[in-house]
Amino acid sequence: MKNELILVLSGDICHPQSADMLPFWCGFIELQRKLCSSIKVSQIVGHSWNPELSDLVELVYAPQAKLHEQQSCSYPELLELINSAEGLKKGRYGLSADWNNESIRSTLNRVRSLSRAVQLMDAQLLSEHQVLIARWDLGPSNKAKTDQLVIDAGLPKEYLYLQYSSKVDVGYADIWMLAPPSIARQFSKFDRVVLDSLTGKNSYLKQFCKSGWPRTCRRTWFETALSHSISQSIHDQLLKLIESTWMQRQGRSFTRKILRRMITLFQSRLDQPPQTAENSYVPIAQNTLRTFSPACALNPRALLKYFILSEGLRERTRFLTNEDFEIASNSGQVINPQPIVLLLWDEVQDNGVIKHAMHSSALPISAIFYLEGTVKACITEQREGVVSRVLQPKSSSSKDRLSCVLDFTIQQFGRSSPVVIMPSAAIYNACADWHYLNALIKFIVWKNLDYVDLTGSENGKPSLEFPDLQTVNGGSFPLFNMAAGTAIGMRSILNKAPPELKVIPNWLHQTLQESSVIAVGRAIF
Amino acid sequence: MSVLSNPRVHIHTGTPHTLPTGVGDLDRFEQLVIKQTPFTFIRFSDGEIEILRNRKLLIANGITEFRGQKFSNQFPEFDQKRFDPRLGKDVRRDLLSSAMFSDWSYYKGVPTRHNNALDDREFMLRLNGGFTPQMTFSDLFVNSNFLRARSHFFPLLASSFKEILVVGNWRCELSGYLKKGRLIKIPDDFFSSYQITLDSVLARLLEAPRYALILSSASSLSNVLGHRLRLSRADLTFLDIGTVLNDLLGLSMSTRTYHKLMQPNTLRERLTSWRYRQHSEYLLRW
Repeated sequence: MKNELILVLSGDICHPQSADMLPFWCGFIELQRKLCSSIKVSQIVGHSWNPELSDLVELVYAPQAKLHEQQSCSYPELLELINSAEGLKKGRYGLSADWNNESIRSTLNRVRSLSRAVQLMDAQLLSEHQVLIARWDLGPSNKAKTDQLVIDAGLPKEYLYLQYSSKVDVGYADIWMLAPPSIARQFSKFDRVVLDSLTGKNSYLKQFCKSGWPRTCRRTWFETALSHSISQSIHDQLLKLIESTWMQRQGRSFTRKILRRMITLFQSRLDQPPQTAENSYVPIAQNTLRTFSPACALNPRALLKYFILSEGLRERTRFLTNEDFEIASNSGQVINPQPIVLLLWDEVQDNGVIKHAMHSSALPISAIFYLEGTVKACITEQREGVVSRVLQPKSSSSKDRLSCVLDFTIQQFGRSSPVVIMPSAAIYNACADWHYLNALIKFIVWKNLDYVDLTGSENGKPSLEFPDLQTVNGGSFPLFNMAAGTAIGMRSILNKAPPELKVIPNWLHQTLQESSVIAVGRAIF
Repeated sequence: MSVLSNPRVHIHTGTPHTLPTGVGDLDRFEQLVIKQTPFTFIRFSDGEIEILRNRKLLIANGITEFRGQKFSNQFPEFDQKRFDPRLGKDVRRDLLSSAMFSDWSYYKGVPTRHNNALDDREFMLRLNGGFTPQMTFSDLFVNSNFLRARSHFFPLLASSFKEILVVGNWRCELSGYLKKGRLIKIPDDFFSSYQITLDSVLARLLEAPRYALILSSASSLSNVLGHRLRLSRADLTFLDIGTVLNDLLGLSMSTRTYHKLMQPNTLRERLTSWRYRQHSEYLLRW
């Protein structure tokens, strides 16, 4: 198997009855950050229930194969069973009044999307590369670190990798799965197995609710109390207290040494990793397996666990956590890099420097414009390489130079072409987060944003649409110094500016009082 | 009845099994030897865990660099090892494969409770796919099992095989009940010549006589060899012996704490031995 990866995405890009796109963008950024730099994404396949966002998917991922459908609103086999009195009688193990139509639809749509995406992958007859199956909304947005992707180039490719959690006994996390093609293909029938599970056509409900859920263990009352969220919270507070006490008790005196020993003992008791039946215990006799209420059976994670066990995949399944490996330095890959036009408040450089600047950028640069001295455009041509052209602004004022360049950009590359303005190429190429920048530029193109400040402002109202973005009312950052936006958007803001852009706090104050500026909330350069 | 004392059901066949104990697991190995059932035993200690986790490890020139901290050490030259995550990708890849492989006759020793290493134990269990009866202690032949392993298990083992091959440092000289064995030498700090060393040693082991015994004192190379041989020569019995038989290999017997248990002569040695037996890490605990 070559060192390449097929990315298979599924689920809701945007949840029904919600306009929240934050999970989608967080998912894109997370994927880029966590993908192994040495395992290239060779192909992307996607299925979603959001046909209205197909253009967005094309912009962000440019998948080789995609299918966007309207959400299924009926699963007649299951709904009939749920709604009929006969059905409720038949479903004596688990069909429950707690399963409302919405939750059934949500679960089945989730698994059906996954299966359809895998079927799409299979239909493309793609190469035999490792497959990463993930949801569009992969990423930590509002969640703890538990769902973060773990991909390590050193891991053997013949196993199915899933995220581990303390709740693994109940079910397996379905937010991402890394598998060889032979295992990935088996998920094309996942939705059928789930449907059979929920209609009682297999042993899922019986095992889950009555005979005993495999690879679980009945807990004592103490263990149950310990796993409660209140206990966990007390546990976390105690650990913090112990750590701070330990730091304060440094020193060589006998009393302090004894105290540190006691603290260490207490800490080691508290700091034990969670133990689960899936991982730590040998599966025990049938009568001590756990069972759950029927209301909990409509659980995508439990359904995934059943699927993996019933398909005989458990022996080839391995669970990973974010803390297992130190691989941050090997992680990171820009997906579908967004071409930009780069404007520099710098004097023109020789061709070698220009080519180096273009080569060092993680995002393709369609053109570099130098705004100081002779205003020059250095355009990337397919055959000729870099072609230079001198521009003639109306005057030597900063505003006219920038206007001239933006007009040229609009003419050459289009009104919506994304533009990045930087003091110099060195500062641009020192970007600390290319994955975020790539996502941000795509967001700018998608939303047709006029202007986003990139200096890293900390004071503002957080955006609900994109991570680390905020709306700033007032501020002290110089405009058009480090910024990004569409060419036409920047041009329209520039129309209101005075001739010398870098000066005039009065104008700055006035302008910012009239309108808000969107700014990145942390420094990425 | 507590979870720990319940008899367990084997996940594969349904045969009963209990959680590992030092005594019980050494009994099991003795039974395998008596029944002439080929098996593999490899160990994952601190050094192997660091490599698996992709952390820099350095044991050389009296310095140990471990988990971002530096300590002084008195390890001999043959105990040196250097793992740089940027350069040791092939070592790590093979070590991960050996840690994740699972088979009836493939036993893996891992750090456990008495090592204060529950995080590592859980990590190794996850790499194994969860607990199986083949999981045991990395300290199976040492600490509280050391004297029994030396006085009973290893002599029994050596006498049960006609052909014995020993993989060890180039300084080794076989003696005692290992004298009839053949030595396959490896260099100091083989990480720097990993692939060449692995290919060379593996080529010789693949030609081992049928049902031979392989004893390996070769640091992380033992793990990789054990895994590869289990796949290609299931007739062989392979044991990672670490430093437990150092004296029979002509190597120093004062590099590990448990070595002090062997024949203490002076009062001081007896006191040191007694103190060690009182230590919390002495008794193997899962």
